[in-house]
Amino acid sequence: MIKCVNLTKIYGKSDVPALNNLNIEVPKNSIFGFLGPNGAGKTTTVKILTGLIRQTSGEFYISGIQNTINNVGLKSKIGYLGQENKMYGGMTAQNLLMFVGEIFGLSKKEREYRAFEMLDMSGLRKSANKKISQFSGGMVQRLGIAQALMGNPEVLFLDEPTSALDPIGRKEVLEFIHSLREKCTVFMSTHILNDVERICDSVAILNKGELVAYEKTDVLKNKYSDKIIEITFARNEQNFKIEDLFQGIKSVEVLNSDKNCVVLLPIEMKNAKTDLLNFITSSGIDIERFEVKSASLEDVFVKLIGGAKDE
Amino acid sequence: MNRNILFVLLKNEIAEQFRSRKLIVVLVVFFIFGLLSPITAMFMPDIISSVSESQNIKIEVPPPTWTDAVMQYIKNMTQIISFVLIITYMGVVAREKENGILVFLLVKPVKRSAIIISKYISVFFVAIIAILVSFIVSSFYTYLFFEGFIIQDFLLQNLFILFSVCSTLFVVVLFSSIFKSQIVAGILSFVAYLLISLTSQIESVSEYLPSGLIAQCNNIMQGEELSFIPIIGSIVFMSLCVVISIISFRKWEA
Repeated sequence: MIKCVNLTKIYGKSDVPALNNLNIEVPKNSIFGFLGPNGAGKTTTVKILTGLIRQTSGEFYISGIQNTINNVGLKSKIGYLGQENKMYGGMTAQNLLMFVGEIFGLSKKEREYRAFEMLDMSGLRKSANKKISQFSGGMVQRLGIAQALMGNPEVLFLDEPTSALDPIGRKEVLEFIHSLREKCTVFMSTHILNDVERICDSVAILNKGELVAYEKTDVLKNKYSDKIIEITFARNEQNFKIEDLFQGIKSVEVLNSDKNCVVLLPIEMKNAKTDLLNFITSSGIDIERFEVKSASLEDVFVKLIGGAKDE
Repeated sequence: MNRNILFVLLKNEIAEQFRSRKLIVVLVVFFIFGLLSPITAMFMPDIISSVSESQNIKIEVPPPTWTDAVMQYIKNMTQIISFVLIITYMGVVAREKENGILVFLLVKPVKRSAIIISKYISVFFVAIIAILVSFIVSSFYTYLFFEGFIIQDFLLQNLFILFSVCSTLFVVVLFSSIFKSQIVAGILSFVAYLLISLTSQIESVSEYLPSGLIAQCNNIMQGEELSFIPIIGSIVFMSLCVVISIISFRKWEA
């Protein structure tokens, strides 16, 4: 459905490519998560794929057709919701959808039917006649996705659709995106790992313009780490630097840490558990929780991105 | 692709001008200046004599005629109004680049040239309506206050003014579509306006430029020979603005 071949983008006279030889293939009717920290090249990729900017080199295909910046015909096959979701604030939600329908050449009857279908799907039927400027962040994002779906696209591009939302707005939008599975191919760029883990079938991780990993979400999690150990410390045990604490233990690698918690990647699980428990007992550190669990996508992400940073 | 896309965009563009109150502002300004021209001409002698009396100076002011009202009208329409139009429309494309609204359209099956052409047609439409408003208001009061007013001549003068106003508006849209900042677009439009106005001092050049339009307004009033070459020159000038805008906008990366 989407195929990128050696896609590269270099802005201006910069020596460093914002995107370097990206090769991915996204299957039809799947939800694809495009992960990476800020500045990784996610938005650049989405902008190239939607014809907003030109690639420096490489090719990309959508539905088997090679796309270019001014390929109007192909734009009828895509829907797009940008990072900054700007729409005509003075319009009502219904008017906006009718306008988009008109752009796609739908008849008045078709436009009305499709607009109400989209309003129902996005849960905005009751706010159909409300001005967009009066919408909450979550409502604007849902309307943004609804307008992107108005032309019945084969591919829906979403650039950081949940990054500006509160937890309730995020939940609403994710559920809406999840409901699109089997209806169209969703290409979602984000830096929020939980979102990808919750709804994406496959995931690519990008860092500094380079593709670090590209797998099915479950395969990626299993491939990079079977199990991890997470230790939560008692709140009064904070007069030490957690990272330094485990540097001497050879059977584990510190994957991630914050104020009260450390995530460790065991090199060999049996030895790691013994070494850690012995160390905790002998040093007298007060812990609240010691858990052996499956790695989350966040753990995999930290491992991959962290590795790339070290290089 | 939808064949009526230009009409769809144009409809939206004009509706957007209503929603943003731009159209209302422009119509009110044209209404006020249409009204002010005959009123100022009518009462200026009274104002001057009352001021001079308070200063113990005696100034003889001849009684006003319709030509004073029309001259005042031409001045207002080609000078003050131009500044208002530059400020109002400097963001017509640039602001939408700045705030991201254009991206909304660019990812839809819409030709970039159609977006730009719809902007030009919408400002042309605004210019026609605005000139019509000021023409009606000004004609009514000039006819009411003065004798000998020739409305046919005034209509012809307004045709030349329409092309002058459109030339200014097309320059604004040109810079607005080239640059991303509406402030830069506004400043450059103002500079371009001044440079074009300066060419009116060189008769051999201004005859082929929008700056020659005002000279023709004066010719109509003085009953001198009329030339339509400045209108043709303006059409060529405006067409160039449209072509450059389209070329520039097709290259623009959002």
